[in-house]
Amino acid sequence: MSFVRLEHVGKTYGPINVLNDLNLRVDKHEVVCLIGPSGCGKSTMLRCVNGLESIQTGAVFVGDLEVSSPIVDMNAVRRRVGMVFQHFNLFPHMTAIENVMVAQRRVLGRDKGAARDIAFRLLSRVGLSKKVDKYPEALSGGEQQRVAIARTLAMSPQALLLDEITSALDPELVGEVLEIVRELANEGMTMLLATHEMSFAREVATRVCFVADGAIYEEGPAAKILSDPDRPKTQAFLRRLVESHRL
Amino acid sequence: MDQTIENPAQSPDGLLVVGQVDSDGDNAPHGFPSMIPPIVATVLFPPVGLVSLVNAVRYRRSVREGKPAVAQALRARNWATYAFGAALTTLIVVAVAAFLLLNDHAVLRAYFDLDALSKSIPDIAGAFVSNLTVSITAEIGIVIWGLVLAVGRSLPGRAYLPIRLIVVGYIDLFRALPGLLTILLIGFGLPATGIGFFATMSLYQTGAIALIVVYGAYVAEIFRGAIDAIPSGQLAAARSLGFGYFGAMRHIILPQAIRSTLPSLLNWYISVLKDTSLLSVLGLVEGLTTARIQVTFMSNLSPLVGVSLCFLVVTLPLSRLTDYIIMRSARKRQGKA
Ligand SMILES: Nc1ncnc2c1ncn2[C@@H]1O[C@H](COP(=O)(O)OP(=O)(O)O)[C@@H](O)[C@H]1O
Ligand SMILES: [Mg+2]
Repeated sequence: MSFVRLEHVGKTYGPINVLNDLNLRVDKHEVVCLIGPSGCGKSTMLRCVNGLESIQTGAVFVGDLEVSSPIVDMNAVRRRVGMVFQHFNLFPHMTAIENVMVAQRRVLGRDKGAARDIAFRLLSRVGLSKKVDKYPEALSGGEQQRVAIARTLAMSPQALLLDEITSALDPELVGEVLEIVRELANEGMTMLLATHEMSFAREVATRVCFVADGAIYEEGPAAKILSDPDRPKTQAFLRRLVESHRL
Repeated sequence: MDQTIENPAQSPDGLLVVGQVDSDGDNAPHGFPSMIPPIVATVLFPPVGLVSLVNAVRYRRSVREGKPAVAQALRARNWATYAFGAALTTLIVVAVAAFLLLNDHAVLRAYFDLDALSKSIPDIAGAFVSNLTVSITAEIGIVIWGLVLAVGRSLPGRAYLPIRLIVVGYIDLFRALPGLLTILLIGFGLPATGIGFFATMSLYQTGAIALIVVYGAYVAEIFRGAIDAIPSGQLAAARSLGFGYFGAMRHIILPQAIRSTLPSLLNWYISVLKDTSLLSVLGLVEGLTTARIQVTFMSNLSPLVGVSLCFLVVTLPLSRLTDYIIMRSARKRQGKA
């Protein structure tokens, strides 16, 4: 049974159909990359998985919890799937280590010492052991995003949702963040990620999904979808990427 | 700084000289540095005036000799500016002094009778402690009540619509009424209810409640603005970490919102402190009431000056502190950019 399941999901913003009979499954230890032009609905899909957006039709499951059910314990869902955002969204009034500690203490109820130990270990893991007491504004974009990943990992999630986590970064900072994602993938973390980094998708993805018209338009192994797709919209998307030297 | 100006009409900063040199070249340039401020200042306030006059004359001479130095020109202009400031200050001081001394010191005696002042100030200061106590108690209540209202007004979803409407109604109502009216309504109304809890309340307590009711509405709007100004990603991040709505508010959103409202809160505290004098209508013996009684008693206005001093001792430092906090956070933002 897949860990994350979206079944016939429909979502509208007023008159706009953002998601349209969307079906998507992510198994344990899979790394699924969502690609597609901006505005096609990738972020919305991710936000439906952890209930940041509600849906109008269909159903979303995480493990045995139905996210779209009105009686689900949403906080339990969110403890299972962590999310990392395009713009980091670190808490600016807290230092790096406090950012990683706050939810451990207030949501999981860990005591201060234990939370600090875990936070320090995770920040060291993402290469920031020397910056634990810095405020976000004193960190580079790449460092902020690494803190954000540590903050999410501190909740011991069983899966991660990564929403274009490198697209707000200067090019030279992208590598340090992707390196961490690569390690997580090697450790078998279940991940669903929206990305513009095609070479990275090719490297880590067990499956690539091309999103169009609010649904999965074409999916398959990275090598197939990113080199030799069958359907016309995927082909056109890749052609545009090649023309703009992004592939 | 031994640089010289080739053409005094084209000074390095474009401010030094605005006029043109006469065609025969031996005249000082028209316009700045004008001789008028130094001369006026020499008459009104000689210490600065004379220095500026000397500098202006020196600069003119150096221009006439055809070798005006930049350093000299700058000095002349700086002293001309000081001279202008000194002359203006002197005028204001003289005018105020004249007003006080007019009519055989009538004004001075009415307001600053040292004898009356020193006799009345102990009582006034003692009563002013009430103003401080009530205002501080009220301010604490106002911040808490304002936060509750602001959170109530920001509750998401259709289920909370009734609560939002009630809060909006409350805020609109108490901002629309004169504060004095609300104080009368609550101050006389609560004890009149006959409900034991309210009936036994002291004037301090009903007064503080009245201020909390009025100012809570204003402060709630400040908090709401601050909450709205926090990027939506903050709430999304907190929720995605498993925080509930109120947990996210308490630990993530409100700490940021309160920080940014600190200067406004200080300003509102100043207003609250000033409005504690309105509580005299309820019969609270506070600084201003005491001062007014003394005025009648002594037929002299000095007690009013005394109570003014009490207010100023608290409010002026707070105003400076507010400015300092605003300046510091502005500098921080600039340093970041
Ligand atoms: N809060 C919102 N209100 C209205 N429309 C929205 C909102 N969020 C997203 N949309 C629309 O939904 C579509 C999908 O957005 P999004 O999921 O962010 O796309 P992507 O992440 O692929 O760029 C876009 O057309 C966008 O304009
Ligand atoms: Mg997006």
